[in-house]
Amino acid sequence: MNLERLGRTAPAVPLLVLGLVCLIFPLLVLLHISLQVRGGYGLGNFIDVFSSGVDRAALGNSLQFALWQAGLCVVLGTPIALALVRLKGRARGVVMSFINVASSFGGPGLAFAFMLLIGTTGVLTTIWSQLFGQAEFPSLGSMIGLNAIMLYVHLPLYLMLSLPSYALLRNEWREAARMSGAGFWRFWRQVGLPTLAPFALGNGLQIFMWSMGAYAIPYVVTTSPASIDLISIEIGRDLESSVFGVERAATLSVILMLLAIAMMWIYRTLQRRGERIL
Amino acid sequence: MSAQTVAPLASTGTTTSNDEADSFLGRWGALILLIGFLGIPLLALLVFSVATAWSGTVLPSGYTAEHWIGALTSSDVLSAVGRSLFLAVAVCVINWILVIPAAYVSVVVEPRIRPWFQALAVVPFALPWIVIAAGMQLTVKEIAPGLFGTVGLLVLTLSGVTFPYLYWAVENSLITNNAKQLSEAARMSGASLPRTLLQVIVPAIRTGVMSGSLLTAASVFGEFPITMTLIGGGYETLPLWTLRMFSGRVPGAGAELAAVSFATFALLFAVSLLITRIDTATKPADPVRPPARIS
Repeated sequence: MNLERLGRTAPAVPLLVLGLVCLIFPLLVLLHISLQVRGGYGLGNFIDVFSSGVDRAALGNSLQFALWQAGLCVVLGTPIALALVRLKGRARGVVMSFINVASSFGGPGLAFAFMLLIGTTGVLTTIWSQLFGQAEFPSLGSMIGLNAIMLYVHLPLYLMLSLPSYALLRNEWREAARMSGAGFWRFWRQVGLPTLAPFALGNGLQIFMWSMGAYAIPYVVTTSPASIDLISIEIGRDLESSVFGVERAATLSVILMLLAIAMMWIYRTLQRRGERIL
Repeated sequence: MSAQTVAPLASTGTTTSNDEADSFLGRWGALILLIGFLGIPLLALLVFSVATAWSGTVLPSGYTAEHWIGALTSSDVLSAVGRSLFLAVAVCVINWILVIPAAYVSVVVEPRIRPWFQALAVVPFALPWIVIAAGMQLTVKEIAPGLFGTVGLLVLTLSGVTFPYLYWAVENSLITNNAKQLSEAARMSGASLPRTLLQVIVPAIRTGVMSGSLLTAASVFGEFPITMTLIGGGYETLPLWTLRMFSGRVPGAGAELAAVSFATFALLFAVSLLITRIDTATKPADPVRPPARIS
């Protein structure tokens, strides 16, 4: 690259620096800390994490929670996304805006709303026990409770990710299938689902990854000892108290990072496969 | 359904068959379930915020506007809103200064640096923000402990994680508005680079800048993990205020929390309608734009 060219690219440099400082360098520091053991580099921190019962449980819970979220989003979200794609005009704009906001509504306020509904004295709990006798819903910090709350955020996210690709499912295909005598189910089994599957899986993966890192809601609802423990919350707790030292937080972060890189790679592969069909 | 034979030509494009009726029903059923699931918690917040007392009964025992007045005049709430707004504006301004020239260079001047920005933009999209927050905290504590807990560090980190929203919107606008031809014409008539950017390019891509900025602002306004990790209670933004109310050490905090949460949703909904309006006005060719992410 000659000097003049270098000069003309100069306006791009500040953003590159910001990206390196905020997004790349901190990750390298995490990697560096996680690999540090007494007297040099090694995998000691990772061995510690994988041999600790608490950490294995947190990792297991996070994986289970993320699988549930991804599965629920694919199963519930796919028909809803298909319904949304065919919605037209003003109604579509309003519904999309609503979904957009819901997807970013994950804070203590949302946790409080669910407490008003399914908490011990919540209105749904009350109605349920008036109809069917005494009942207690699973607590907000349990696997089921957490899944219910987080679906409020992740289902809209899944829909927003899905819509652009689902809109590519052309109406002419449906017409063509009907012209050649294929019914509703046959069309979906042989044309619709195979076309959408790579996208649905890819978007499910994205939800899986975001669930692994979910923070605000689990932070407020998993404070009681009966609640489940997630890896993201363990990282946050370590950073606040540093009882376990920074190595553990860094090691858990690196595990999430490696997982994210693997997921991204699979996501890209699936997207490419999906685009080839269309 | 397989009994259905070839449909008569005249009926293609209309919705007369059984299949279509089924899918019509399924369509509205799916949408009603969705709106119900998303709407009911909001309704609960609204009812609780105007209730005198609501616990263990189906409907509240009485209604009052007291909590709304209390929340909207509370100095804690107002200063928390002020801090969140300040963060949102500061991050937007920094991102305008850094992202617009960079996107311009990568689209118009030197396309070879585009993959760099695209790779950088994937990071905050793929990686949990708590991991980025952890990295930033440990880095700063190691290298410059004096920076830890400062608003400056928070603004910088938030700019880093939200830059893709603006970058994608601007890059997209530059491409759809033929920025390359525009800037060549401007340079031919003797305009300098800053002048070309400010007087030709920015006006042409203003809708992209607007929608990218609104996404950035909405995302910063509700940000939790990075704010909590880098600065915590020392700088109480609106999400941190809701956290303090939720933990319940303040008596009667629930109703104010409900009022503020409901109001925030309503405000963001209005902003989002605005973004949709802007986006449909410009019809970007962008295939996938990731949604704002807060939790």
